[in-house]
Amino acid sequence: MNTLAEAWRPFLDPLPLHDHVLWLLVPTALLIAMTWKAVRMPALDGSHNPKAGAYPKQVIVMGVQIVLAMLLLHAAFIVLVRFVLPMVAPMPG
Amino acid sequence: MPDPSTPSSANSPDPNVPGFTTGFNPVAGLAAVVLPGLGHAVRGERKRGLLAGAGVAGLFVLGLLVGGVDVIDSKQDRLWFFAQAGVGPATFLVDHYHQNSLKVVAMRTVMTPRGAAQVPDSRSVNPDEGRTTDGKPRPLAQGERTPNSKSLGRVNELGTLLVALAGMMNLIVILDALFPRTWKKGAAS
Repeated sequence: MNTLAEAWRPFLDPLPLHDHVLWLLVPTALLIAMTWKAVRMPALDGSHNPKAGAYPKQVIVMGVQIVLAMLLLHAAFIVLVRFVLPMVAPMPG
Repeated sequence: MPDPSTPSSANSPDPNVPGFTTGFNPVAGLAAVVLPGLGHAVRGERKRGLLAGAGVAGLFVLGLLVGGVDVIDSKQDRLWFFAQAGVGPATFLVDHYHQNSLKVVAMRTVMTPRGAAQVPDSRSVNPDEGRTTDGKPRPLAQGERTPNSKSLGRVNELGTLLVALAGMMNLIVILDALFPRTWKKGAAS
């Protein structure tokens, strides 16, 4: 994006996010939680389960749960690829 | 406005959860197919429809912003398109625009049992190509830009995935509009 002629055109050009795609996990998790909770909560004010709270709180809790689960999965794959697999099938040399 | 706690068609008690009833509402199901969240609004649950629709629309728009319209392609990414089609007419409109206003049709040589043959090939424009009004590729004029840029690598994967997620989430919204599961205050123990 050096010149005005090369400016990003929304929806026509992809966003130059190649090195920052992992940050998209946060809005994605929140949007999924927003849809899921809108459909699955019996009462949006949380009156069906006062302990769990109303819609906004449940969306944030579920969004955080998704992000944490993805990070744990990420860590598990790092352990698998860097430590477990080299022990099970060591590379020559 | 209908009472949101009562489905519009015959109810049957859900044997698993106290206070819940399930119903069948084909009008709401059809409305949900037309526009994400509209089914719940038709049922009288405007806030729920707005929130569910905003979630689906957010995923859809975020995917298009990240990867561009190139992430919806019924010809080159057919399997992904099946999942993306869950969003409804919006996906088909974007795909129609992509196929007919941004892609070019060029002749491609293929080998057949009778020898080489020229067949029309619909594809994205190359970085040095423009597009004629009838959809054929042409060289770019000085200072002109391509109709769109093909997204590659991670942004293409993420954009495609986000729109597909929007489609799959909307299927859940459609099913919930079609088979409403409602809860009555004070019925649960």
